[in-house]
Amino acid sequence: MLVDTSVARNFAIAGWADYLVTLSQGVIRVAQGVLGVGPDEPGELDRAKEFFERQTRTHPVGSHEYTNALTAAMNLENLISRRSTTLEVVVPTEQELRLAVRLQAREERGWRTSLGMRARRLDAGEAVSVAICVSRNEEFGCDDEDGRIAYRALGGKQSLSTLDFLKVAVHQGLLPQDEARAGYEKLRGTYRFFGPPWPGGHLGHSAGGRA
Amino acid sequence: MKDLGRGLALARQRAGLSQEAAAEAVGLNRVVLSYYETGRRQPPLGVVVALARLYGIPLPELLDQVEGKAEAPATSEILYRAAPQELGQSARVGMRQFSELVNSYVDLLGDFGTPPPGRGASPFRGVNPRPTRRDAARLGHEVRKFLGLESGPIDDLFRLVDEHVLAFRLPLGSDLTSAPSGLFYNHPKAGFCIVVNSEMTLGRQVFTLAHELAHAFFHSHEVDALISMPGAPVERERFADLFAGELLVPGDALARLIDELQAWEREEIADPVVVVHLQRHFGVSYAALLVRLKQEGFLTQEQYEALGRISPSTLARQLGYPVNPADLGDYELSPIDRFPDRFLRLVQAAIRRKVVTPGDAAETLGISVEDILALLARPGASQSERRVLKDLESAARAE
Repeated sequence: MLVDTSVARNFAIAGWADYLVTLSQGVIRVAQGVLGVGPDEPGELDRAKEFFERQTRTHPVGSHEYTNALTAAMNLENLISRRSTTLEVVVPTEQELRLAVRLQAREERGWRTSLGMRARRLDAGEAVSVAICVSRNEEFGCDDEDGRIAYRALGGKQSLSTLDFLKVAVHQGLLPQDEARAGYEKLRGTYRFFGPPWPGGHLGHSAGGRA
Repeated sequence: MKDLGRGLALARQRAGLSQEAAAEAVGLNRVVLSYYETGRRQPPLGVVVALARLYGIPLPELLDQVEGKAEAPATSEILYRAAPQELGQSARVGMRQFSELVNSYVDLLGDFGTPPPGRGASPFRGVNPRPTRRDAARLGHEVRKFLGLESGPIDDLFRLVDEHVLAFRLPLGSDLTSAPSGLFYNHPKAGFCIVVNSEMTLGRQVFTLAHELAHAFFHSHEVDALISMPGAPVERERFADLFAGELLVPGDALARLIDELQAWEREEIADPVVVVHLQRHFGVSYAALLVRLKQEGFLTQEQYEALGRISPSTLARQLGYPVNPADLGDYELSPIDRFPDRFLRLVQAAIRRKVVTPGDAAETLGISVEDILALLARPGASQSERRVLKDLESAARAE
């Protein structure tokens, strides 16, 4: 299982990194670029943390905005600091990198449309994540619709969104449903996550998300 | 991936950029870039994409290291040639970033089936070869009228001129004795474009925008590209400065306000308290207001220099005003504020239509996905935004 920036970011911001470790069988795996292989290499999670750190400088200390930004920055740092322990950065092979470039390059748009993608291209982190998962026959944790479309079209077996992961966490008794729902809605409201709303009603047995 | 490293090094050298400048432009440490170039470490794809854009080379070519195909984007080459003297590395990087951003803007319009506006045409006639201060005042009034303004303060010049020029704020170098303060370029597809050096104070950025507007409106009949930096043709630069002053602080409005403040005598106008009140009224930097007072003959050179030694921030605090961001040297520009509103609205519409993913948008603008999510959460569409979106909808339907 490899997760994209969005899933890793959501679990980190909500303070649920430990749950994601459990759901990922002990190690969260992300592609190089989602996080750097070392602290000197830029990654999308670092940029997310920097955004929230900047927010703490622009909002008055003690305000809701300040507190939310500070919480997010600290929780992201908590996830990033797990690099090399419970957070593994996966470096793509040359072949995987070439596939990722096809999911990115301007010249390959026609091919991507033939895969069913609506958007003109994937971002680099998403493209590398898809390429690694497809090439290594791994499950893919992904919130991006076009990322999932590309993954499936290239023969990927199963993808899970942030919401799917939370359903599994509730189902496995890691998280009470009310807490999961409240945290998820906070991600959508306060932290601008673009995922679908929490489904109405109590999550049943089928809420596992695994096909 | 030793070949990729070699490709990166070759492309950088062909772009005429130092390792340090290229590394800084994409948020890397120079040593890490050297590791990538020598094959000691494999770069993340996001870094390769950012470098390819900076060097003006398609990504597949960079990976396959096709010799001789690395070419600088045409826009940056034109700007390099238009510079009156050798450009520093920061200016070269800024111009390359600008070139890539304008290309992205045109591409995005294409994704909506909207034809780009094409080369800009000024609604004003060119100025005579030796314009006077009176010409600048008259034209300042004409432009204000064109922008729907009377003689009051201008709230946000960047937003106000957005419909007419694409104005970016990008770093062009911090040493203003050699770096450009801004540039104007009449792009063949995107029309009037301006870059303001974001390494200056906010007050100076606003003044530079007004200065570059003078080039767009009154010099674009003669030239397509003008770089405002030491060594630039004196007459054009002098006029652009006079025009900028008149646009931001019209002489007649300044005189009227001084009357209202009953600062009749020169000594009274030279009172820093009066200057700060005037500054607050017009919403410009303390330095810009001093220049206008001197241009209008309200201050002697001696008084101008004495007032220039005063700290506007300290004075503002003493008077109970909050410190004007225009006077802050260490003003932190939000990454999203580097881009024209028109461009941002296009990005918003593209994401909402699912033409572009938030990650792609972030990569295109060189900012974080969080910045893009914040952009998407901005309050509802203003009238002008609705108009742009309506145009885009019509274009898409017509497709």
